[in-house]
Amino acid sequence: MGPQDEGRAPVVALPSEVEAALEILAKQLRQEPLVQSSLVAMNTAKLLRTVVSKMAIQGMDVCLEAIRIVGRRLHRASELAFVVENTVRRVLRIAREEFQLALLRHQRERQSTEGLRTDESAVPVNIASEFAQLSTSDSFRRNLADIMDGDEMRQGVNTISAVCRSARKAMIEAVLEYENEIETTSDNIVEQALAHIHANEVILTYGWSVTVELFLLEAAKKRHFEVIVAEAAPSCKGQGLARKLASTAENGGSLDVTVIPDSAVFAIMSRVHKVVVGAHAVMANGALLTASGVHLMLGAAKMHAKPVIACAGMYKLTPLFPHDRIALNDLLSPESVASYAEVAHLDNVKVISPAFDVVPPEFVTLLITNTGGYNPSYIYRLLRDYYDDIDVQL
Amino acid sequence: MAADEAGPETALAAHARVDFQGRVARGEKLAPAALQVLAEVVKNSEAGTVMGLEREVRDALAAIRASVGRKSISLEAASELFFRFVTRVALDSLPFEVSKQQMIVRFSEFAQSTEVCAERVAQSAERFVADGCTVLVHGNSSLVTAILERARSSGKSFRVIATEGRPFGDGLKMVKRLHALGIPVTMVVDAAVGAIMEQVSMVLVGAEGIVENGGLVNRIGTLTIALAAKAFNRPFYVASECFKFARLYPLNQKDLLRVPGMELGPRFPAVGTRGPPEENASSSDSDSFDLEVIPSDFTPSQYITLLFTDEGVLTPAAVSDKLIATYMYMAMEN
Repeated sequence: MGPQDEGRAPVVALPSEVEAALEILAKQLRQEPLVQSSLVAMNTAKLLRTVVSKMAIQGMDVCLEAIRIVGRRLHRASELAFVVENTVRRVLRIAREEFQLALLRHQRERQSTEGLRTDESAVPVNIASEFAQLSTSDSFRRNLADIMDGDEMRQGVNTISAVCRSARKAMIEAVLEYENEIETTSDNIVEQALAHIHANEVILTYGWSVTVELFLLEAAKKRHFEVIVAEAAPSCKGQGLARKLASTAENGGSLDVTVIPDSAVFAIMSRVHKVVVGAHAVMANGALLTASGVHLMLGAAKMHAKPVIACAGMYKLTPLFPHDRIALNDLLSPESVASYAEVAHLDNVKVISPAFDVVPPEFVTLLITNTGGYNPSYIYRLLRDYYDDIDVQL
Repeated sequence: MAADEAGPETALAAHARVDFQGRVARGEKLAPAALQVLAEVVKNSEAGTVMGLEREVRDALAAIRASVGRKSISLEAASELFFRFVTRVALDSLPFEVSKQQMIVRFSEFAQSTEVCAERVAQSAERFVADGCTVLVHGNSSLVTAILERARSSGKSFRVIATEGRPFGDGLKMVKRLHALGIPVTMVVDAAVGAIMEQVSMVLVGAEGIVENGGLVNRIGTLTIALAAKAFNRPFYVASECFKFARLYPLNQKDLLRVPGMELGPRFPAVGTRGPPEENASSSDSDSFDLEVIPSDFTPSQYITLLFTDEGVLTPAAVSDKLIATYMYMAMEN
């Protein structure tokens, strides 16, 4: 299902300021595709807010198509930056909802000013969910046609722009709220740390996830526990996390930190209480797209029946399914695995360094997002609340 | 469901039955054909009240169900949905013409034509067929064929293993269709699924019905394949239209056999050697034994990886939500 289900997509030209900002963001994505997700999400949301504020006046179809155009261009710049597309989908959902709410508000105003009895039972308690079903522009046009009487054509035109203006204002507020949500995502996840990490526990983690780092430090403020960090070769970012945790611990925290090589995860697993990991993206069936090497560690955890906690913000939730491990992966420079000088003369040797792993949902016990903790099988509900089906393919 | 009313078929009901049989003969599936026919009945009805309309629809539906040899779950599901909606509309105090219009619109939207469903399913499911993979199929599902055809025409090369599907002959029908599409296909006996599972990348089957907890009702043999796939950690995918979502909750196989129309099939003589039953049946043989034919089995949702439907890809957990949404949509006020 794509935008073609919404009627023919209009041809839309983006204003020059938007084009310029879009180019800058696309360039950043191309150069540094795997930079911190929350920043990418924030910048995308800011750009979309500009798009919305400039294009909303031209009507719902144009506004949605403009957002989609931006989304497609950014996707071309970096295909594995899922947060970009997720933000675009979120804004599309916000835009559709706000247009419909604005239309409904206008209709009710018109009814009450014309003295029609407003049937209380017809006024829904939760407008948004009632109209969540009617998420096509066909219905918008039909409703619009209803309020445009034959001899009030002029009023019709003014009506459309009044609705659009009202929608525009609401949309800008909603996108700002979403930007705020992205900004406070980390804080909201970290708040939940004390509920899951208890005194004298041994926590295992992999590599250096900033979310996990803050999660553990928050718990360390009140509890004493031990952290084991798998170094995550070949980048060995785990060593960086260990140093950070240990130095903070010296300043009044209460953490013991150990670094282990990745091959030791199975051996150490029986002495571990919990495993905590971050994720690059959360797929629609609850699978995680994580740093390469996490799958092995979580497989060991499953075997030992250790609880696995994944920390990821809601903006990392993707409505796509992991259909193909190869398509969802990226190959990093193999230099850190085996230097060019070492293998250049060996014809039969290929050196690869994949960036990601796809972890099946069965390996994850709890997914902690900024809105709370969920079972991976519950993802479909979260997706339904955040995105529209029609936007899965931009 | 009320018992079918006794008495001669009314003209309207007879016309509906003929219309229905024509559509099925042209390749339409049972449930969407029935809903399209019932929508026509509503449109052409001259009844002035909802009760009168309900009676006409009930007669038409009885005639349709009588004409189908073995009841299908999807037809039962669709007709239950229809009656829920009609009853609900009867409770509203809207003017009759408005209710009638609502019904017509809802049902033509709900029962999308078979082609549209197949197109949508193929579009979302095709990406799961990877280049160079081996797909195990069971039964003779048109949706499975559509998905594989789409994958083929997008340039992927893959091979298919199909089960024989004894004694129904599904496998041969499927193999012929796939062969015509130029897809390399091998047929194996049903008992071989355990042995070949190690070569298989994924399993893809159609559905006779999807039940409330995301479980699958399909041609006998499906459960065995699902169990083998789980043991070998292979993904098990189901392709189904949304009108096959039924308000059933079987807990075991026996529960399924209690569903009307799903009883054991006719027994026929077992085959001792290779070859179809007809060749080997000999009534003079005093040692002949009969085969107990179970037509369908129930696969619990924990063995199913994903469902490909015309409303998108779903996890089994999401099916009950989708079911509720469908029923609520049908009953929703405008």
